[in-house]
Amino acid sequence: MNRVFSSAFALSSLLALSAPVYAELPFPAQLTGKAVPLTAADPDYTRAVVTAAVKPNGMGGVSDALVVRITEDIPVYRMWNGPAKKDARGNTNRLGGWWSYDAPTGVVGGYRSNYEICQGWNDLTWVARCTLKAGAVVAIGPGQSVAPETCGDPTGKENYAANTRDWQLYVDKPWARSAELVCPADTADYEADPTNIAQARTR
Amino acid sequence: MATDDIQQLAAQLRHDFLNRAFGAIRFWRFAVVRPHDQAFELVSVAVEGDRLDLELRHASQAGGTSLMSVWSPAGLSIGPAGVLIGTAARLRFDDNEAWLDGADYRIRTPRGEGGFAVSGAEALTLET
Repeated sequence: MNRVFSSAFALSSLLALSAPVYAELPFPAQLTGKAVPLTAADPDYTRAVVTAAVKPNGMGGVSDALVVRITEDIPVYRMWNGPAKKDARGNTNRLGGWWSYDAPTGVVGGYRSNYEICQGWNDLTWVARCTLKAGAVVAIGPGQSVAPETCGDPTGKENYAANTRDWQLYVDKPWARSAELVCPADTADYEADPTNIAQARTR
Repeated sequence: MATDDIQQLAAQLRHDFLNRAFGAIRFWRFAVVRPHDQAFELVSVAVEGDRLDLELRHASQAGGTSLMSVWSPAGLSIGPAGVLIGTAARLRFDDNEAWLDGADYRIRTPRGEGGFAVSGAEALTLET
């Protein structure tokens, strides 16, 4: 190894050791000009709560994450159970941690697979469109796989592969971040046509 | 150190985990809710015979409370990542139930009943 190469190697090794966590993930084209990546050294980095978003194989969430600060308001989307379905505590799941910056399209089954959402977790019947405001700090990344045990499908068959194409956006405890995530009244949401979730179901 | 006595276990939960938010609930390997989609807080802890009743509410404080019940819990650990209960005979939350069946655990959900191998999984995980 010559000296120049050796020095370059040493420098690149040093840079690699000090590189931020997001170094291995490409910045998504959809957010170019609308968000900037943050390093772990940024004081706002912890607001994204990456530890909640990134999960091991088979457990959902994202497999790795970029922390970004939104620099221009962007629409974000979430499928949910609709206003009529409430849990045992009387709450809907309209607000939650998991969103996408790509608008939902295609058949609902494809969306479920692309975003690794077990059937027991979400009916995926309604679509909410909210605005992630400039200044918001969130985690984004490719969806992690979900194992049959995690879904709890009694047949043991329901599982989802990791997906590097359709990234997820994690907003930690969105109900406490009304300045960063702004949603219209749920009357602005629509019940999705399961054969084309980009459009409202017709009755 | 793990705590086994159910009254001690309840007291430790009251002391160390009351009002702390957590976003994932697992009965063995079964994620009862989508991990970190919603968040919950422990409001109160009660013991009834061999059953531990954990009263939970949504972390936003919206809505009411509901119970998570754990029968014959043992092996409690509480740390920065949340709560682990190593073993239990049965657990129930909302429409979901799971119970130990030899080396397996079985679950019953609105979709039906099935079974999976325990394979070293903790009976209950509440992950912050």
